[in-house]
Amino acid sequence: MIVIATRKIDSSTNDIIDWIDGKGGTVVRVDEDNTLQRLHIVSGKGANNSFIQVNQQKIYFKDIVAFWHRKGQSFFADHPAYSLQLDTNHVDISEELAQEWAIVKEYLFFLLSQKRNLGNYFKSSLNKLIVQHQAQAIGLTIPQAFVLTAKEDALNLDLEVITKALSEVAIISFDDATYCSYTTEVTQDFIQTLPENFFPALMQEKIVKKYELRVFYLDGKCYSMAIFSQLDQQTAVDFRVYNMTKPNRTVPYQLPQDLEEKIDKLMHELQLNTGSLDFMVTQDNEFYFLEVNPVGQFGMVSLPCNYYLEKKIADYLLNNQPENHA
Amino acid sequence: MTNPKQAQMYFKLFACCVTVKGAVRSTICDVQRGEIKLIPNSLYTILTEHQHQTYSEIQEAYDYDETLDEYFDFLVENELGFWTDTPEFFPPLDMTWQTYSNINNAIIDIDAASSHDFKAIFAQLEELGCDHIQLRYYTDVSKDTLENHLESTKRSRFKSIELVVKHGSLLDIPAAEALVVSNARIHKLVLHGAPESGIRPVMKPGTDFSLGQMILLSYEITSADHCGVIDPFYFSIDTKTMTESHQFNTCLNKKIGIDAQGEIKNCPSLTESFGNIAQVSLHQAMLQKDFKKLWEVNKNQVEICKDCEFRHICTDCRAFIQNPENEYSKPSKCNYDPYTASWANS
Ligand code: SF4
Ligand code: SF4
Repeated sequence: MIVIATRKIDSSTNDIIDWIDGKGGTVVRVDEDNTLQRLHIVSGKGANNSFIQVNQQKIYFKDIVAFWHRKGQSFFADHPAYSLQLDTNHVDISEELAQEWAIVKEYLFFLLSQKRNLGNYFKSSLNKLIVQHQAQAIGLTIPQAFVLTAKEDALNLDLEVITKALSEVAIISFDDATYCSYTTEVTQDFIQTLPENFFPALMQEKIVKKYELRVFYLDGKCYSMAIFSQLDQQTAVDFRVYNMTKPNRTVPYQLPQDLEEKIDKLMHELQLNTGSLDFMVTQDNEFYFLEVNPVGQFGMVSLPCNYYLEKKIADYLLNNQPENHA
Repeated sequence: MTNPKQAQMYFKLFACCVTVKGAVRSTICDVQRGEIKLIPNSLYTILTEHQHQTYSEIQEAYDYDETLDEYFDFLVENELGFWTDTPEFFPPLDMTWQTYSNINNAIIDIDAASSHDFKAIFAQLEELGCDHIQLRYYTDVSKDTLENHLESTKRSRFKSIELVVKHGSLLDIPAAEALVVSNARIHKLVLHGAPESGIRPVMKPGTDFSLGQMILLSYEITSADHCGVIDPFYFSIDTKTMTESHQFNTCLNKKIGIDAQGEIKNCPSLTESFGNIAQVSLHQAMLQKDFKKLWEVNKNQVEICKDCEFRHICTDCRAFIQNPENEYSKPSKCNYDPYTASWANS
């Protein structure tokens, strides 16, 4: 049995379940809003009897062959008994219970991590700055980056920079408008408007790119796609600002072998067997590594490149030997 | 070319822009944007035989012909290709086509005499992994009856449902529209015998969210004999058709049909039956020896079509063919002649 923890609406999950079904595998899908109805965990003798119950179904750990933490908050997040007890007005008690529960939850994920795994729950969000540091140590080229708080320092930068969120892209609503933390250029004029001291902000060397790369990494292999966002001024700075009528050209890409090896090394170091990596390629064919997303959207790479990543992921979870396709 | 650097560069089409050579002209099928561009065969040759040469090498091979620059400018301006100094980084699109299911799509025909057990049929189709179903009603049917037939699809794994229904006293345009709104899986409804022809989007009431499409036809569709029309209107310029057409039949592969009498066939318009749904399961029927015999008849094998520049975006009808004795003859409802590059008036 393959357990997939995901969100209710996720077409990639559906596609992979189709492939697993088609190959005769059994999938138990647990969406993030499903309630953990019952826990029965035995350590030591009788561990075979350990199960969790979700959607009226008992899932015995001994029957699970693979676990994929695809997306979402874990289904263990809102155990009913646990949320009930948190209603208490005693802050200390709530905190204590939260800590108790965190230990149990971590143990559950530890047990699941003993199975065949795709993704790593314990690494589902990464620190961009640390990853960049590790990437450089491995020999990948990274853009020069600064974390600054003083206007003076920002004015003294002798290169063009962009700024972007260090954490996930935020969508913020206020004053009846919605703001999204897209990557933007930082101009001297803009810096002039800043106060003497500001909140720590990332300023990253602006790379003039020929095209971008999105690399989906799965179990030692890279499936890469080039994105020609430069053709279109509307998306030149950030590819997420889509142009609907004339979508960016997205084509299969063959990375140089040494770069694939470095990516493999980095992913091992990060203890990730899957993820999607972003690069920029300059006019001089320099590859700048930007970031790794541990829960990458592979659908946007799979379809345009005809990679059948959904099938490859299903095969991985089913432990099938990869087929050589001509 | 003014840029000296470009002289040593290679021209690449974006991988989603696939060239297909025809007898007298070729196409670039842009499967990403869903468009085709007609190109002369001379340009096809440049893009294929000369693809491993630099700009200056091609210029030399063509004796510095000015047309070359026109061609390349056309391709760059239309965002069909680009110059690169690293052609090895840009592989072509892999033409592999794969699926997870035994049956991907089904056509079920219904007329006044039909007595299909829809619930049982849908359950069997789900079992086979079928994603898309099409129901074609040749005689009057009411919205209530349709809803009744489709009841069990509401909690099914089907990804899409297409309905072909008759306009009349039992079903008018608002009722047909209400049907699309009521079942999220219905993405297309063809209303034949309608007062007028046209295409209308169906929106979720009170929003601008599109639920599907309604196609009105002013003529009536009375039987499976109406199927098999080949027309640019039906071309599918997408990766699925492009890749599938290289190895498989673009209409009959992974398809199952149940005709109005309940006979199980590859498609309802074909003559060979593999049993009646009243006695035989779909699974049993498709296990029979010849059930899949047309699945791999592809456009590279079909006479005339194999010389047509549209062959990888075109449907391949095998029910209506020019010579019924020859499995590889051209679809009879096609008016295109690839040798003169012209459509005859029908
Ligand atoms: S083979 Fe021809 S008649 Fe049969 S479904 Fe396809 S187009 Fe229609
Ligand atoms: S000749 Fe064949 S491939 Fe060309 S349009 Fe007609 S049916 Fe399609």
